[in-house]
Amino acid sequence: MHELLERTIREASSYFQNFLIHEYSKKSALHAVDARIKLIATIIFVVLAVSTFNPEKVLLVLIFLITISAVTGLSLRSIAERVWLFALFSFIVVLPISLSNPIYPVTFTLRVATSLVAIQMLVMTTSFAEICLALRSFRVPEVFVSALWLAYRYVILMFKELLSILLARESRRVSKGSHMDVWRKGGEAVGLFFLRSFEKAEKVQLAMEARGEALSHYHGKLKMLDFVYATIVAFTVFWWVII
Amino acid sequence: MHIPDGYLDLSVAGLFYILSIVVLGYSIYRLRGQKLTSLFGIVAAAIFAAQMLNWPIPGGTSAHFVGGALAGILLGPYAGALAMAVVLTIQCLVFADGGITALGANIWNMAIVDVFVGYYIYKALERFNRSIAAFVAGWLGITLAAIFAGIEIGISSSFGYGLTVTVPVMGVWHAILGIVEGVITAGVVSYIAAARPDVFEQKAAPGKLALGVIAAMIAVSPLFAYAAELVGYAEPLENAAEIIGLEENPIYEGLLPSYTLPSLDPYIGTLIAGVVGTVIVLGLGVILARYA
Amino acid sequence: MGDNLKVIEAENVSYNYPDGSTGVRDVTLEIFEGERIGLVGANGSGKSTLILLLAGLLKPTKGNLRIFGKEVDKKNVEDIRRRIGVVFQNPDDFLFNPTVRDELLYVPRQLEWGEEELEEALRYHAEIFRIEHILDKPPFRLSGGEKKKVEIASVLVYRPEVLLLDEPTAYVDGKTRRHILKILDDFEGTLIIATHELDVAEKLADKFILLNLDHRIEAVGGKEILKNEELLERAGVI
Repeated sequence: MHELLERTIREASSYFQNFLIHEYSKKSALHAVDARIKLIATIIFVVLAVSTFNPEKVLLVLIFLITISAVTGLSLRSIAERVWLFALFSFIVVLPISLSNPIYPVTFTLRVATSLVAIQMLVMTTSFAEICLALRSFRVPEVFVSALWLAYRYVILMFKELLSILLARESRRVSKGSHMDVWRKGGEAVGLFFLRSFEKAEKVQLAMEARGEALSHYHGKLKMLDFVYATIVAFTVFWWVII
Repeated sequence: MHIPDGYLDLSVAGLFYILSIVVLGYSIYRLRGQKLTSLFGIVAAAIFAAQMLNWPIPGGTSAHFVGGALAGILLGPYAGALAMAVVLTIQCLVFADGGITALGANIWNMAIVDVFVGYYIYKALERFNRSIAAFVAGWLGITLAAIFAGIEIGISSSFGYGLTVTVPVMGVWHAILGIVEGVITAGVVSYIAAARPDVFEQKAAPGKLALGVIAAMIAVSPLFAYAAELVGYAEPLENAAEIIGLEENPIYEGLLPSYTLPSLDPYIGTLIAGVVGTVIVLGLGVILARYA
Repeated sequence: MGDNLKVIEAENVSYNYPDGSTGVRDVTLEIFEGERIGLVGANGSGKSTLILLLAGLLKPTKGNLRIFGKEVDKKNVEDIRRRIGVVFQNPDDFLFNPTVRDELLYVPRQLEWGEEELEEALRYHAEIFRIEHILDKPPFRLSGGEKKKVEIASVLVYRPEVLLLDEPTAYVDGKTRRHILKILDDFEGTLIIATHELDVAEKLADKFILLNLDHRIEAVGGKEILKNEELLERAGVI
């Protein structure tokens, strides 16, 4: 169990950082853009990036995105840090194909990298609460969005409980075990953890019913800022088409 | 096993979005009236937390538990699918884990195939031996989910390798890793069965017909994917643009008349168009920053 | 004190949680065999974290920690688990076996004690803790006080040299509280008890470590610490 706990705790910090990344990253102009616009924009950017194998078009989108990020105050370095690993991995995976098609690995990687940048621009500037409200306004079923928001709020707490259970179990481990033992005993501890989650779910359900369950509706009116961003998106599409 | 953007053709990605929405939509419909939001919200949070564990495997690295089959076994397939879909959506929109166009496919693989297949297998085998049933459910669920991911990626021309590479690679790799998933699933299920057998008793048998239909959808979806690939292209928007006739008359020629010089290299034309476009975006960006 | 073995030694130990919050900061202390230590401080001062560190369950993010003279590593970890017992604050995190009997015998069985030894230990501790009547009950059905007794019994049953307890009197009714305090008073090994209840600390310990709201050690000393209102106020305890 020792390894299980040590490695998990070590990697946990990167998870926790991601939960608050939109707070960690510098306030940029994009933080203020309406989440609905950003969500649609992100999808459009990604679609532009992955619907073509014309490297110029993909590169164009990438450059536009980097430009927007830089000018609005997003840390390019943060974006790069969060994108490079997957991009590199993708490049390496398809590299062998360069034997038959030398441009392919470059274009493929550009597509992946551009999509990642687009998503980072969303994730780094939009709180999950805003995303949930945006999803709700796009008619995603209330039940699902409520569950999304609830899950998001409880992940860290649940993780701490799981960790406590594993630590308690570890404190009573006095003999070495094989990998199989770790998986089995760990599985049992996770079983206890899930049982506790059911109990918690019941309590939360009662509390939610007592308070009235419905998520508030989206209040925001679209501002000039949002129209400017929408214009940028539209222009990108337009330029992508004619390039 | 999360597929990023850029690996799937949009037609394939779109197909699996539709299939996933149909099954999830049906699941929501199925569960209407039962106040279950907090159940699959909290359990989703629990699954998320459990996925954060780094299980040491022989060889020195770690594997992560996915939990789709477990979700199906503990919550029933409909609530289980919704819980897993919640997890995957949060991973996509908070962690950028898994692409946004690929979310439909990721949900199909890990929230529907893994969950429903896990459920079917567990139900079929539980009368013989609960632990073994749970193990096989966990193992096969994840292996099949991986195979589906392999099919989706292999069938897409966006990804240079074909099915003969992607399916075996994904399948075999996850068949091995799936052992951990199976053991943990079995551990959880046997623990809960021993400690609180009442958890397993309440599951009312959900409509056999619907389950059959979903099983059929899962079985047939690779064929749909193949069809989608035939019908769609890797570059549908360009085709749309062609049809509209936009590409025939690059507009930049009109704006920048110096380009009509026939001696000019078309590549430079693109370069300058790119620079001009970037400058315009830069300007718009500055305006944006002003309004913020 | 010089003759006694140093059981736990911490040198500038700090622990930061993965979510960025601080557990403890720059803790330096020595714990000798047979000492009875009260770890006092307000909630959130780091007592629980320190318990987990001193038990060898968490690895410091900074500084050195030596238990029984050595740093915790793959070779000695099971030995440390065998010789150090930890009673967690929430018994629901700790108890997981089908019956109370299984709970008590969980560690001894791993140590491969003989049947007779197991029976004797079970009988003896069930009697002391007055839990003979619930031996076959599942732990989750017990009351708060019963759970706490089962938890402590499950640790004492394998006779650890060092016993660490995190808020042992939380969740517990008055009668059970007195009973538990009596049992802990009789414990003969090294005792480290984390609590925000000063009277409990006073009853069981003779050396005190005071943690403040900055997650550091404010003071170390004898019973006089508990009477020093100024000090306690500074540390946020009162």
